[in-house]
Amino acid sequence: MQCLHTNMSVWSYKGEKMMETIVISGVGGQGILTMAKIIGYALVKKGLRVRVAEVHGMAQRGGSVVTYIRYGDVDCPRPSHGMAKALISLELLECTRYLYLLKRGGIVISNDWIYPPNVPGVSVPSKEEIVKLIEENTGKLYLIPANKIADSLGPRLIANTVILGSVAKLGILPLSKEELLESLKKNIKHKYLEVNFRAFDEGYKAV
Amino acid sequence: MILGSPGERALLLGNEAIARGAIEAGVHVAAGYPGTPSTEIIDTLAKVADRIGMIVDWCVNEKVALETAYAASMCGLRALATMKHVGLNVAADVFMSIGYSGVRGGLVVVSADDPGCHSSQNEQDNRYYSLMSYIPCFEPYCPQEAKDLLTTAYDFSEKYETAVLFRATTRICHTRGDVVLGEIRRIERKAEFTYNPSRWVLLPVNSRKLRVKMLERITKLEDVLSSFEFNRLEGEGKVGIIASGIGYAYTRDALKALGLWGKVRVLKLASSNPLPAKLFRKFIESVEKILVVEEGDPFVLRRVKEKLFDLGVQIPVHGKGDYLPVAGELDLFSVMRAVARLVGVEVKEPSESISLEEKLSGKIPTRPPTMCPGCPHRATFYAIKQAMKELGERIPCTGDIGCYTLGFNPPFQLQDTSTCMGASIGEGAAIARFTGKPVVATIGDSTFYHAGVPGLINAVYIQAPLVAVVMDNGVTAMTGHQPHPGTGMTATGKRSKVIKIEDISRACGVEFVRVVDPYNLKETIQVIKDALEYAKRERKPAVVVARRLCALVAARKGLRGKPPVVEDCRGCMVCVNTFACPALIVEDGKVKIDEGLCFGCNVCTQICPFGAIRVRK
Repeated sequence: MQCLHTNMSVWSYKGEKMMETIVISGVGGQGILTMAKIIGYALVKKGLRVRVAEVHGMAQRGGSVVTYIRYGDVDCPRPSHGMAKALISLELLECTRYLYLLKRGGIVISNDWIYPPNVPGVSVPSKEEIVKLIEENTGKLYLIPANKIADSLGPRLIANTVILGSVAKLGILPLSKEELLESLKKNIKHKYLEVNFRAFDEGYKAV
Repeated sequence: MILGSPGERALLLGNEAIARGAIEAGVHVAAGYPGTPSTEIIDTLAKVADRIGMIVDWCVNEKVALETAYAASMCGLRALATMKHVGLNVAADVFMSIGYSGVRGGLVVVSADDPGCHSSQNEQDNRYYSLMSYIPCFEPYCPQEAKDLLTTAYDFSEKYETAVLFRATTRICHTRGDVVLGEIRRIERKAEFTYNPSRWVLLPVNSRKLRVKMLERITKLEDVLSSFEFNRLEGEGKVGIIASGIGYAYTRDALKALGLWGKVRVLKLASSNPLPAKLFRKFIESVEKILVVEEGDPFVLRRVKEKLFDLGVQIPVHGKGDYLPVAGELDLFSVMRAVARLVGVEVKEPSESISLEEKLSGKIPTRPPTMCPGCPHRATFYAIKQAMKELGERIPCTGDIGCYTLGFNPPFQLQDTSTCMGASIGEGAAIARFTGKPVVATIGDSTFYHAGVPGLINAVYIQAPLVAVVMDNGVTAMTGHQPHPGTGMTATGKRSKVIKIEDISRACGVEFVRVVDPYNLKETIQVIKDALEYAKRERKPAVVVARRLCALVAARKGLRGKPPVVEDCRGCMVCVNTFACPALIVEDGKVKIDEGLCFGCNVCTQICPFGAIRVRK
């Protein structure tokens, strides 16, 4: 039997072209789909082939939400275990839940906020436990106080844009700050743009 | 964006791509009933309907939506009907007949299947409807092909006078992808009904003849589809993969990742029924074993086995059921593993990641979806539960399909059944009749119009002691606030007559009909108790309409109230444990209001046994 995978990483890609996966997770209502759309739009404008897999309906409404952004020489929207180069999250429990999608040494960027599930009597691990769990299983963790930053600027809903600013700074995506800001402009209602730009800047400065 | 110029490269949701495909095909009429994952097709078209002169309707249910589209086709117009997979069950009666009659104007029925049950009660594979109805089934593999295939489906439909079942799945409908826009065709046609009884009147005398025609048509299409531009052969080798619909996307990525692209013979299928006969024969010429990659049931797999048997060819065929799991969605790893197994190469299992997933699921609590802060359904469920408590009886509570299905979760646990649209009333009345004891049926407004009304008539007819609580929040909320016959607005935002649930109930023969505001707990609890006592005493059904606008819609309209204040909380947790609003948060054993989340409904102020949560002055 011929073995195609001799190195450590299962998903070392045999093709010649790039094939990347980014995961965005959070709680339904935090603007995860908007964030994914902004990134997806910028990638398309960059000339890349893109797949952004969303979940709608029952899966929203304060439930756990995960979206996959795949770009490069990609066709299928749904990745699998250990494939993502980065996990971006708007909430720490939802961040931890999807760690298994990261490849070894993958980057984690998360809002440092814990929002316990709305279940009477639920027990939730402490922030220290969660951070330890993430650090044990990944290369790098960037905790961003996105809710605090958002609260200081206006509506908490812009925490997603704060995180987007941090993502821009860390250079995880093949996109410049300007390209992401251009996409933000195209995908956010005009009247909310000003506060979103500030959120982006604060997120950019936060890492 | 949806009306962008030809050649433009846009990021479109699969459903937007389907909508754009309909626009490019010059579709005249589009009708549907909201249902995840199909909803955004009509949502998208409704926004531009007036600008492009398309008739776009949200109908009362999928059956009426398909009848609308079919009627458009009878009148020579191009028509689109959209629904989720289980919606086609509702529309199946019309659908089967369309197989017989065929079409005049192009007719495409989009079925959005939901493997993985992201937002549905089952994983049914609607390609079987294609087999049953002799209506061909097309399946796209990506948003770009969804648009192109849909546009082509109209020419195909008119050329061969057949409807087309366009089967998409969640990962097509709700995946955004780069799509190059095409030319928008304007097809000027006037709606004209042509008298053609031998075709439109399905009496036995006509149906017998039409059935023969239908069988001839589907056989002919086997050949036609062999040269269909969306079906093709790729790569060379003794190993073959048949990749149907989105299965092709997984196959492509799996082959690329394994370094096998071009080294395996692939039959890419966009028509899963009928199988393109000539193309299939060409495909099997050189292959020694076959893997079928498809989303849903082993549908193509079974057809392939049947075809091979007919041809007298013995080739092992794998796919769903052995190399791939039948339950749930495809994922890239499963397909890679199946391909590697077929080719005879090794693929390293991501065992570390798999054990990490298991470890995490033990440590991180699940997060079920929940009713929103201010959701009137939460108050209604609280009132039903309280009424039962006060009557000292746990009464069976039949459930239905909508946001209120979340009443299944703690602390309410008041969805004792949930089957399909409208079943709360049909089942509830029957259970009440068989057991001789009252039953509460909980059903939403849109669901009531959709399939609740016949059940209610029947409840009156069989004299069942049923209390139907209709939770009327003014819109079809779960799918994104689409209007319905009670909203007073059409899909395209025009005013329409408000058809009231209480009027319908009375017209159905219900004598006890009350309308309450669920934000007023005391009144709501009392009315539900009265209704239960009435049903028990009179052996007749009662209807309680719990009416309050969906909190998300209300918030958008600026109708948010002020968050209440909490003073001297004793930490008894009654509010948290019995009402469980996400805006009630606990810090150091005391309840606080998260003012960012709070909608200001003030229902919790009516629940605190110590009056510690007070309306803000």
